[in-house]
Amino acid sequence: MTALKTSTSLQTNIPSTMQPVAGLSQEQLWASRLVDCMGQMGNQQTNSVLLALDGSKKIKPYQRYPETPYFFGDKHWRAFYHSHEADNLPQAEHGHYHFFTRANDGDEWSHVIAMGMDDYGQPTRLFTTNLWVTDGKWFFASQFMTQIAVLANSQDGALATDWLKYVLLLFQYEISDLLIARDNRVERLFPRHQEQCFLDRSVYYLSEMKINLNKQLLDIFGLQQDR
Amino acid sequence: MKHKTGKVIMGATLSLAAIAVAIDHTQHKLPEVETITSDEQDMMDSGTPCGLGVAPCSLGEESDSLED
Repeated sequence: MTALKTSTSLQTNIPSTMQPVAGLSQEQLWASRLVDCMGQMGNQQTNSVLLALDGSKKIKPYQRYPETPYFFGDKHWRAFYHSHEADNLPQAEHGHYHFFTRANDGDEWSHVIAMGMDDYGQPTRLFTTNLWVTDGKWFFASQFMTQIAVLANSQDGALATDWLKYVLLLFQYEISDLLIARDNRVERLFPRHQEQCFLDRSVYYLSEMKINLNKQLLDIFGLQQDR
Repeated sequence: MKHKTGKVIMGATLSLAAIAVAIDHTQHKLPEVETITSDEQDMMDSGTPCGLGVAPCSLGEESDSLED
């Protein structure tokens, strides 16, 4: 499923504390910080997944990395990385991050999005999953911009979580579109009783989109790659 | 040899090369994933590994309060 990248209405929700500075747009500022994170990772000869693995030489299927999933975004967001085989997973995917945020700003967690990573620790796709896959509270698409604003306004933390934070911020419109596409698919599959979809184990993915971080950064800075 | 710093000077726009280098320098081969046994896979497919009913992609723990 391909989600449209046309959420122009979302652009009114740019957090007030993250106004453009020094000639950079909001997105360029986030992109600069992400590239800064990557520069630090490059200096340490690591990447976000290797940081999450924390030296593990072999990866156990379904094991969460880190064991206690990350907190970030002023404790309003969580994430972990894991790998597992499944018939419906792309062969080129090493594993994926799962991102959660607080449901209704409370103590329960909702799955927002997952991000597939290739064998070299680079993001390849974003996808949403059915509720049985992740458990927790169902995350409503309408809550997303509130939670992404919380993230945008949050203090930076560790290198690994800052990388996750800025990737989420840079792909927020794609994620929002995927959540809307997810909800539309649930409605199409179960027009009368949508809650029945949540437990249907024949439905794993609800929406997905390939992503290219390099292209996203180039687009944000108005740069074009040589052909 | 000492690596050059990857620090971005805020206020300066990034070049195509700087972005390419930043991404390239974070490309490192990830460790292999161990093979899962069929029993383990069946357990995960049922969403209740060890009978605790933990979903395969959940946070796998109690919720943490903001009041911590």
